[in-house]
Amino acid sequence: MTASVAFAFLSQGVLAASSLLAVASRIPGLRPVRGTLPAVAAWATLALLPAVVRVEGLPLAAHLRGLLGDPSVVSVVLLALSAVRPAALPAAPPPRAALLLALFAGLLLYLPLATGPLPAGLDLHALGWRGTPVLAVLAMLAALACLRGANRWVIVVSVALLAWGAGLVESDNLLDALVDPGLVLACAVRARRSRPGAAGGGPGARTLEVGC
Amino acid sequence: MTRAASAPEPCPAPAGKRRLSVPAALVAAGALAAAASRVPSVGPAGFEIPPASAAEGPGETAVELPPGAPAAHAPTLAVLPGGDLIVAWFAGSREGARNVSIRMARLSGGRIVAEWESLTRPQLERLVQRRVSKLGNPVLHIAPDGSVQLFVVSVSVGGWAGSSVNHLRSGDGGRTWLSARRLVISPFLNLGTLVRTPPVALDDGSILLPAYHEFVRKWGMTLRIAPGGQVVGVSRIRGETGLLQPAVAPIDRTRAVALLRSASSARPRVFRSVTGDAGATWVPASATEIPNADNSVALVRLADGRLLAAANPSETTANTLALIVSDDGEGSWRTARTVESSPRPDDQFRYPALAQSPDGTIHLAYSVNRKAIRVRSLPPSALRADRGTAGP
Repeated sequence: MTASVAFAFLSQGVLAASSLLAVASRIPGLRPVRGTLPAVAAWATLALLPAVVRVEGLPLAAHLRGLLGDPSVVSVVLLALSAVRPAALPAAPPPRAALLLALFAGLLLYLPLATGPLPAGLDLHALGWRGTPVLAVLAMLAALACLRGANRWVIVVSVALLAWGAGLVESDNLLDALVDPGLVLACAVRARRSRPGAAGGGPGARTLEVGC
Repeated sequence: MTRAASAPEPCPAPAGKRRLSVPAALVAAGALAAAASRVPSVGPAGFEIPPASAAEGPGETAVELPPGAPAAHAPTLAVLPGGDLIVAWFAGSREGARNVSIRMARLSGGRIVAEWESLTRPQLERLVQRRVSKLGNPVLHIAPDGSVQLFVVSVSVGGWAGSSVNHLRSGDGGRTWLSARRLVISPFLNLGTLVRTPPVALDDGSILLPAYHEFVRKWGMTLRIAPGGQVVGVSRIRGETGLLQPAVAPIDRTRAVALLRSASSARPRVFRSVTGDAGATWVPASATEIPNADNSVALVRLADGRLLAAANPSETTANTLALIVSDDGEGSWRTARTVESSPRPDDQFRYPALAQSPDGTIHLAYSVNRKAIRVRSLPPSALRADRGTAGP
């Protein structure tokens, strides 16, 4: 098994374990206690299972890859952070709804331009093949984020860049390490819950809990 | 792991004034440097144009390959370094069945010297560590070191709109596969990328692989793939909706022509696009005078500089297959040889593939009623026998 495949299997495990956690949190009378040692151990076990359990001669993670595709590294890191955040630590401040809405709108434009529903005069996804323009923008955003003390976002994106640079991500397009359709959906859900007056941080809506 | 439900945890107010974090800045700088190390350092390249040749080659031959299954379709062919021909196609109980596999044959001097099952669905699953529900079009490519490479369409879930492309390398002429990699082209679950026609070589060692998109909308494109297999660029071929399966042939170092199949019944024509920068950009495709009823087209640059296409020149049927020549790759195409012509409208001679050997021999493979694969070899002089326009 190559490092890239192992990373992809682990990503599927994180996605599956976090989805199960979200489903469990919806069951009346139950609410996951995040960040405690047993909870993290249970989550980690769940995350490793898809790589171990075999179905029709293939690891379950290989079936999940076929069904869902590989999530972006950013999504995986956000899900993992959400699951393992120690319960003793306060939750991160919720991202601003305006910021999330802007992110959502940008991503909503990005996917259709690349996949067809919109005429493709401008395909933002194509910028990721050469990487350099995306890296230049990310360098500026990282500098801005560091100046504002938004360290957690810097770390999340840095992990994605490190994984892509190390060849752990199947795609040769840098943007695929940063963005995926699930992240778009998570932005929309989290933006809705971050509106002024909305109940913040409800169960199952913690995928963007990294804060600003 | 769970506890009784309670009120949502309140999020604390944002911290006060934040300060520059040097560790975070260092991590970001390191990550940017790591990502920069993977950024490809490819620049503009030109098409590799072999020296002109007027080699004539031996006489004509025709071979029917053992299909290996009730359904056989979508042949692809390539010339091996020693001059032998390798042909690949998909075969199974029916198109899209789980038992479809990629079969191959090696031909020498117009005779079959070997025929084998090269890739099955479970084998590809193990190679790419991903569920595969069916196999589709294969495309052969011979690398500069003479090794056989295969691009093959696979689907994990759903129909052909859910396709993706896998790139496999063989060390033994296509009998077994050393490595395989799925090409990620679309950001939306990588759905909808297919291949049908062979790549053309660029002079920096990379290749330009014609491909097409079939999810939500259809369009043609070319993928630039570095010698190591890394996708370093994707260029769309714009035009009317429903253009797919581009076949590309270079005219000179920077210019190339792409002929495209049209899925639109309103414009039953072969469409054409050109590039002037070796595939970095393509002009919007426009209809040619070549009639075509939503059938795949093959295209190759001959050693004498002419472009040779193989197509079904009919607005309604695929019971005729013709070789069509252009001297300049521009607007004029003429039928140079009618290869197949059946009085039965239901007969189909579809999915042609073309290649030329160094000795000048032109090779044409196509499927017969989706049940058999026929390979014809002919000298360039055979193209002069059947002059006429390719128009309706």
